Amino acid sequence: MQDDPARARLRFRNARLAGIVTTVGERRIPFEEEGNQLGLEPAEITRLQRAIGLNARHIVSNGETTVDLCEASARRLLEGLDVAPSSVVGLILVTQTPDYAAPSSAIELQHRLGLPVTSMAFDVRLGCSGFIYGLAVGSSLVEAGLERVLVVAGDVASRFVDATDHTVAPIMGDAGSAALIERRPAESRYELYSDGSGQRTLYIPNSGLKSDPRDEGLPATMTMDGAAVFNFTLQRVPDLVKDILSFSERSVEDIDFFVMHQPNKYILKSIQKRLKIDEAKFPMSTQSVYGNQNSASIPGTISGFLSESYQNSCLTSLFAGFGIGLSWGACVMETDRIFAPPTFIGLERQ
Amino acid sequence: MLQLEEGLREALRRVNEHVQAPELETVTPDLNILDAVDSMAVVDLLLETESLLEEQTGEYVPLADDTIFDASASPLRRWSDWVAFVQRRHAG
Repeated sequence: MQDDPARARLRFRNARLAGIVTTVGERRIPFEEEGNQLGLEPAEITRLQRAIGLNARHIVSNGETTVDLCEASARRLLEGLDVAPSSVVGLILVTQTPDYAAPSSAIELQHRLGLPVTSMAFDVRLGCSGFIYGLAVGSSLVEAGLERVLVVAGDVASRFVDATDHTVAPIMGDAGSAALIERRPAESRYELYSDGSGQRTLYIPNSGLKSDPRDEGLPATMTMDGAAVFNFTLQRVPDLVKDILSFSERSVEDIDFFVMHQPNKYILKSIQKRLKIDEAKFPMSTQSVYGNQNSASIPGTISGFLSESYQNSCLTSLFAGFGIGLSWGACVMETDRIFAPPTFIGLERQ
Repeated sequence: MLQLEEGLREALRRVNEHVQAPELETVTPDLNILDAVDSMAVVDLLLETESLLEEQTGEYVPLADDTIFDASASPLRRWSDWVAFVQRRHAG
């Protein structure tokens, strides 16, 4: 990418990630079972499993929502870190599937968690890039003076897809994550990007106040131009990784883990191969086990596959999110040993 | 060239085991893969072809670019174009 004079680059020295928790929907749906229900032939099921890496997904049941999943993760996180909710004065909720169009779901969660009324709480309306944006905004608030900021990111994507559409429905999983940022020395750098010219590449028609003649008669479910999304990812993500490494003055070898948004097996494998990154540093199985977790896919990958490493080691990580908007972003951050238990299945205590 | 084309044929054959598209059973220079299969199968073909050629040559060469799904410019519209496209990629 050319060195534009104006770029959304951020650098933090006093915002440290203390922990990450992810909770996924309790209902596990094996793809073979779902494929049969969708009327797919066995060969078609095998083909989709190969191309996208589909094996199963976890979704909510009984009307559970984004706030429910994020609340479960936030409670588990604060308990695990022995942090009193009354000491958290910032709450950012990243989602594209809020409980209500208005008000912000973050404010309901502030109340549920028992955060003080002297705290700030607001939503960030982003999808697959959202966790990076949430961390960037949360770190900004911490650098500006807040002691602790909770960044929760989650989506119940299973509820905004056409259940009979075999190209989208079997991909989406439901997850809610929580991360705590504290005011302590740690180095992290971010680069963030936006391109609204790709708005209709991935969008939900008739889901807001706009009446667009092009959307007439379309259901309010996720619509995806798969080829355009594919091209966007291949054009942007390798450069995204190279640019954040350059901005962070790091090489591929300096990074312990590349934790990317997890859209599909081919895209991830292609990025890993293009950048010549060791496969062991580049987890790619999240979608296969849990489904596409949208805004929660990066914390979901840490909880699902890297829990032990993050709990037991000081690490340098590269996180990258990219998708709907179009929006993308990446960061390189240092972490001490953090609280990062394995993924929780369902809202009930295990 | 011949070895590379054999690899491409083998990749197509493996993908078609699952796609089962009659159009893909006979490879001719004019074979239009893009019209014969859906986008998932194209992704599967890219994955299979890249993996197979990496096994053969020991080198990973990415084949996807923004022409792959372009109805007016995709190399997958003609088998002979596809072979030439992959050959150019491997030549660097």
